Amino acid sequence: MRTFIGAIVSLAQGFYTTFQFFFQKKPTIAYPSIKKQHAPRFHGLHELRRYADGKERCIGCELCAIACPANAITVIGAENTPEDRRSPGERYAARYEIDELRCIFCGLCEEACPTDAIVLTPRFEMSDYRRGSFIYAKDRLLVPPEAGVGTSPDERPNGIPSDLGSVLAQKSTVDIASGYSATWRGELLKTDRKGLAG
Amino acid sequence: MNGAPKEVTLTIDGTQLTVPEGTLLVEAAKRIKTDIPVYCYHPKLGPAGLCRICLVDVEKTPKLQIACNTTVGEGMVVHTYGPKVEDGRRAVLEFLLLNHPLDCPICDKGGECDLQDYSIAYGQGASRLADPKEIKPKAIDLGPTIVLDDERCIVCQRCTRFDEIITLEQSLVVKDRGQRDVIATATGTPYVSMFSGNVTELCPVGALTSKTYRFKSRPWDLNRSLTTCVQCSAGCAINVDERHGEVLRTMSVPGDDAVSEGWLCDRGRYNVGFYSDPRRLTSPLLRRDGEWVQLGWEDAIDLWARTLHEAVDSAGPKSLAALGGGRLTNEEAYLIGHVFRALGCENIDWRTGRQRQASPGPRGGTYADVESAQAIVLVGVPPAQTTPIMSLRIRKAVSQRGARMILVGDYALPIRVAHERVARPRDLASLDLDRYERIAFFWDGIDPRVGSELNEFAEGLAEGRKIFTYVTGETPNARGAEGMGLVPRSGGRDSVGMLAAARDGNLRSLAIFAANPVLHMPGGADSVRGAIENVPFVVTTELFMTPTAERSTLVLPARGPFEKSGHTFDVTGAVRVLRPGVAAPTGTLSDLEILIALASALGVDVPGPAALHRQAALHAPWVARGFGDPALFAEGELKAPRAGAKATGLRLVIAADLFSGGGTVYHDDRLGELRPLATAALSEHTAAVAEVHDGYLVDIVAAEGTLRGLVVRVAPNHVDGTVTILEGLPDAPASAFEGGQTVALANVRAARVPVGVA
Amino acid sequence: MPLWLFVVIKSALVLFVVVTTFAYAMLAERKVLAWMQLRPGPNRVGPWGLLQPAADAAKMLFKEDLTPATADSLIYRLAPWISMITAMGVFAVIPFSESSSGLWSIGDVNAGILFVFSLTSLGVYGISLAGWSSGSKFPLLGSLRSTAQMISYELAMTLSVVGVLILAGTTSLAGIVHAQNKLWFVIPQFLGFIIYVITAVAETNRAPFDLVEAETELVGGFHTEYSGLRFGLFFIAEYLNMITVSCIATLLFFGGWNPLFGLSVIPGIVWFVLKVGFVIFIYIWLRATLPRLRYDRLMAFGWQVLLPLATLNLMATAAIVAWKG
Repeated sequence: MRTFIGAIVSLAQGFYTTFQFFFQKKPTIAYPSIKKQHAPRFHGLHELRRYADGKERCIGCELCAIACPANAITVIGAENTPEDRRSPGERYAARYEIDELRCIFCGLCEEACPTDAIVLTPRFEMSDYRRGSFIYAKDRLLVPPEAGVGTSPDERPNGIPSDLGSVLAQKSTVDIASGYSATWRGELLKTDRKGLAG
Repeated sequence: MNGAPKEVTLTIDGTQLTVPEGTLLVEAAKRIKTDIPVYCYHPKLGPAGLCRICLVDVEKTPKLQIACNTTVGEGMVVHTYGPKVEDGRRAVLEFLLLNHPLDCPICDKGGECDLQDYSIAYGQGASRLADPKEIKPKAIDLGPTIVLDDERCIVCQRCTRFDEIITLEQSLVVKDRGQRDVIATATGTPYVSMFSGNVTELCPVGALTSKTYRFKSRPWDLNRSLTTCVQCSAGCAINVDERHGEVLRTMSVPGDDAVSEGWLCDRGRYNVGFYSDPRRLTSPLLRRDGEWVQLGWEDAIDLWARTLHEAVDSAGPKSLAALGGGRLTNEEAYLIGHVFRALGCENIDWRTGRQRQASPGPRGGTYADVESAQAIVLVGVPPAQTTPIMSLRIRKAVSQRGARMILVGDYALPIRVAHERVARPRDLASLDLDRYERIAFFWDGIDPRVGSELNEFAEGLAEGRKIFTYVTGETPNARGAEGMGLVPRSGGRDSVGMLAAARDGNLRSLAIFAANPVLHMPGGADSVRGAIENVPFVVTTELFMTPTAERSTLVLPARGPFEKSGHTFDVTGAVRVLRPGVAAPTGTLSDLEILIALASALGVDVPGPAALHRQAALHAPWVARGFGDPALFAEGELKAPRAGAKATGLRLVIAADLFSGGGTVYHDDRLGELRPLATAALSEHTAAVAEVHDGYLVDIVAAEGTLRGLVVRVAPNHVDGTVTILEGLPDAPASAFEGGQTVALANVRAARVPVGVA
Repeated sequence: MPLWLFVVIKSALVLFVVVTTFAYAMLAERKVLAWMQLRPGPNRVGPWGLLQPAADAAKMLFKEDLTPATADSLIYRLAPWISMITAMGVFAVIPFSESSSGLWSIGDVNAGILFVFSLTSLGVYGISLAGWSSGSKFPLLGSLRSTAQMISYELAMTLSVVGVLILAGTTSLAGIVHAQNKLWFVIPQFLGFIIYVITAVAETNRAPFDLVEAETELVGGFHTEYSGLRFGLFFIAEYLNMITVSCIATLLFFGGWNPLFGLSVIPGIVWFVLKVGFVIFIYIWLRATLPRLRYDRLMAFGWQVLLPLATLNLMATAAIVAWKG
C-alpha cells in the first residue's frame, strides 16, 4: 500500500514538474534572428593570421598538427624562395588544412603555435551540405593581406631573429583582453550583439 | 692479437661489468643499456672529445671525465647521472646553445634532434646570454645535395671526420675558429661526394640538411619501414620514410654491419622521388596503329597469353624470348624462368646491359673479407661507380689496414689514394702478388675475355692463399637473376643472340621484365631498337615510358622495389629481404603478380606463395666456376682481347655514374642537379696534347659512329691517353661503343656551357 | 434537399473540421510538449509556427513513396488506408452538439457506442497488416506488439464503458449525454474514467504505451518502411484516434456539450471543443511526463490490474443500480 501511495505521489510530482515547465520562461535563443553574445575567448572557426607587412605568420612547423588531439590538422611545409617569400624565415606552409568536422575546438593548436599564426575566432557559422567543404584550406583560413597585425621578424633591426622568443612576446599586442575584436571579422560580430533571447 | 684480449672489471651506476681492455666508457655503458649523451662521438668515427656533453663522474678523479674518450680501467667506479654530472652537462649545453638559434619549429631535425633531447634532459631552460646571438649565414648551398645552416652547427666535426676517415675524400673542413667557425670545403668548390647524404644523418643537429627533404616534413609524420635498396647490387638495408604515399627520404640502418655499416650512397638515398612521380605508368598500354591505347589488366594478360600460345603453335617455342632486369626479386626471376620454360622456351637471359656475369665463383668473398685483404685488385669499372658501399670497404682496407691497391685497365678512381696500375690481368704477374696471403679480386663482369684472363691469374695464385673474388657489376640483383636460372640453358639464346634472332625475324614474341636494353645493351641503341621493332609482339613491364617501353607493343605498369616484397642476393650472394615501404599507385602490379596472372592465363602451374618463397630462397644460387666462366658465354666471346689501341687515337673508357640511366633517375625531378652531363673526361696531360680545356664541347668519333656535343672535363685522376665517357645517358647513349677501342676527338668548340659539378 | 445530399454536405463539413483539428492537434502537441520540455517548439513557419502543419503536409506529399522489395505490395499499400478510414469513420456517429434543429452529427445511431468500438477495433488491422506486409523485422515486431496490446486493453476499455452504459441506460451517444444533464458520469464512474483514459492511451498507441512505434528500439515499429503520403496517413490516423477517444471521453464522462456551472449562454459546441481540448491536453501531458513502459509490465498491467478493476467497477455499478432500482 505504501508503495502504491508512493507511486501515486511520484506520479503527481512528475505531472507537477512538467506542468510547471509549461509556464516557465524558455531559455532557447531564436538563433538566426537573435545572436548570443559569446564569451570573449570563445573557440570557434580557425584563422591563419598575417603580419602587418602581409607575410604569413605560419612557418609550417606542424606543431599544431602534432598538438591536435583530433588529428584534424594537416600541414605540408615548403621552402621560401627569394622571389616568392610567403613567411619570414625559411619555411612556410605549402598546404595547411583543418578538418573542421574532426576539430574539437580545444584550442591546443593555438597554444602550440610558436608564431601565433593559427588562432580560433568566435566565428562558428560554417554549416554546409557537403562534408568536403568542412576541410578548410589556406584559401579560407588565411586572412586577407590587409588584416595583418604586429611586426614581421624580417623588419627588425637585426633581420630574422635567431630567437623566436621575441615573437612570442608579441602576444600582448594581440588584443587578448578585448577578445575577438582582434580578428578581422570581429567587428561584424560585435555589431550583431543582441543579447539573450526571451 | 695474441689470444683473448685482457678483461677489465668496472662499476657503472652500481652495476658491475667486465669488458675488454681499451673499451671506451660510452661503449661499456651501452652494454648495461645506459645511454650517455654524445654529439661528437660516433661508434664508426671514434672519439673526438669536442663537445664534452658525455661528462661522467669517475670516482677518485677530481673533475668530470668525458665518457667518449676515457677507456675503462680496472676497478673504476663511474656515475653517469647525479647532480654533479647533470650540472656539468648543463654547463656544456649552455655553451652549445649560446649561439644556437631557437628555430626548432622549422628545423628538419626538430623531433629527432639530440640537441633538443638533451636540452630537455639537462638544459637549464633559459639562456643567460645578454648580448644578441651571433648571426651566421643560413641556407649555405654546400653542393648538389647538402644545405648547411651554420647557425645550428655545434662543430662536433662528425661530417668532416666522416669525409676524412670513411670516404677518404677530405673535402669538408672546419674553416675559421671560435664562434666564427663554419663547415666548408677546403677548396671552396661545391661539396660533391657520392656519400654526401650520410653527413645529414651524422649531424646531431639540423645544420646539414638534404636538399630533397628540406622542409618537406617533420620526423613524426613519417612512416618508416625497413627494406633493402636495390639500386645497385650492394644490397644495403635501408629505412624508407613515407608520408601521404610519397617516399620523402631514406635513412641508413645503423645495425646493418654485414653490408652497409650504416652508410648509404647518394643514389640509394636520393633516387627515391620517382615513386610518386606523376609520369608513372598506371594502366596497361597497348600500341595499336602507332597510338597508345589503355587496356584493362585482364585483357592485357589475356592478349599476351594468347599471343604466346599462337607463337608457340605457329613457330614453336624457339620464337619466344624473355629478358629480365635488375629490378626483379629472386622470386620474380625464378618465375620468369618457370613460366617460359613451361612453354618450352629456353631463350631466357638477364643480361640486358654491359654486365655479362654476376656470380664470382666458389671463391666469392664477403664484405668482411674485403677488409682483411692485403692486396686489392680492381679490374674494369671500379666498384665506386657500380657498388659504392663496396668501395667504402675497399677504402677502409686501404686506409686502416694498409692494403695494396692495384688497378687493371684505364678506369679512373674517384678519390686520391695510392695505387698501382697495369693494363691487363696478365700483367699482374709482374707485381709480386704471391707474397700476400689474402687477396681480393674485383671484376666488373663486362668483358669475358678479361674475366677469363683474370680467372687464370687468380687460380694460379689460389694455392695456399685466400683468394676473395667479387663481381661488382652494374646490374642490381644480377646474382639473384643468375642464381634463379634467368640464363639460357640447353641451347637457348642469350640476350645478344635473341636480338640477332629478332633482327632476322625469327622471334615472334619478346618479354622484357624491368629492363631497358635500348639504353644499355652493347651494340648501340639504334641496333637494339631496330631488333625490338622487328618482333611482332613485345611486352615490357616498366615504371616509366623508357626508350625500350616506347618500342614495345604492350607496356605493363610495374611496381618499384619499395612497393613489393621478396628477396634478393647482394653482391656477395647473401639473401636480403624486401618489404613494401610505400603504397604503390593504383593500377600497378608487381612483376610477380604479373607473372602469376600470366601463368594462370597460360595454364601454367604456379608454386603457391609459400612454396614459391621457399623455392626461391632455397634455390641453390647458380654459381659460376670463376670469372669468365665459359658455361655462361658463347664461343668466341672468350678469345683474347683485341690487339692494343693504335698509338694515334685515345683509348675509350666507358664509365658508369651513380645517377645515369633512363628510368627512375631520369624521371625524378629532384635529382636534376645530380644527373650527369654527357662528358668526355681527360687527364691534364691528354687535354693539353689535344688542346682542349675544361668546358669545351667535343665530338667523339669512332668506327661505330659519333657521339656529339660532349662537355670536356679535365680531371687529374684520369689515365693519360684515355677519354672517359659515361654509359646510360639517354641524351648521349654510349652503348654503341666498346671500352678500349680507339677514338678520336673532333669538332672541338670553345663554347663554354655552364659547368655544374665535376 | 434530398437526404443523401444533406448527408454528403454534413460529411464534408465534418471531414474538413476533423482534418483541420488533426493538423492543429499535431501542432498543439508539439508546442505543448516543447513548452513542457522548456523549448519554444515549432516557430519558424508562419507566426508562432502556425503554418507548420501546412509545411509538414507539403513535405509529406513530396517525399518519395518507397515500397520495400520484400513487401507484399497490395496489402502494404492498403494498410494505411485501413487505418485512416476506420479512424475517420468513427466521426460519422459522434454528436458534437445539439440545437433546436436537432443533433449536430452526421448520423444519430442508437447503438453509436457499439459502432465506435467496432470501428476502432478494426483500426488494429491497419497497423498489424502494415507491419506484416512490410516484409521487414522491425515493423513485424511492432505489429505483433500492437495486436497483443490492443486486444488486451480493448477488453478493459469496453468494460470500463459498460458502467456508463448501465448508468445511462442507452447505447446512443446523444442519449448518454442527455443522461448527464444533472451529473457528469466522471463523478459516479471515476474509476471507470481512469481506466478508460489509461486504456484509451494504450489503444491509440501513445506514450507511455507507444511500444508499437518505440523509435528507440524498433525504429518506428510498424511504419518503419513507410514514407511520404502513406506514412502521413498513419500519422493522421493516430491523431484522429486520439481525437476520437477524447470525444468519447467527453461524451461519456464529461457530459458532452452540457455547459459547466450552468453557463448555457455559451453554445454547446464550444463546451464540447473545450472539453475535448482538455482531454487532449491530458494526453500530451502524459506523454511529456511518463517514460515508456516495459512490454511485460504493459501486458501485466492490462490483464492483472486494469481488467479486474474494470470488472469490479462494472459489477459494483450494476449492483448499485440494481439495488437502487
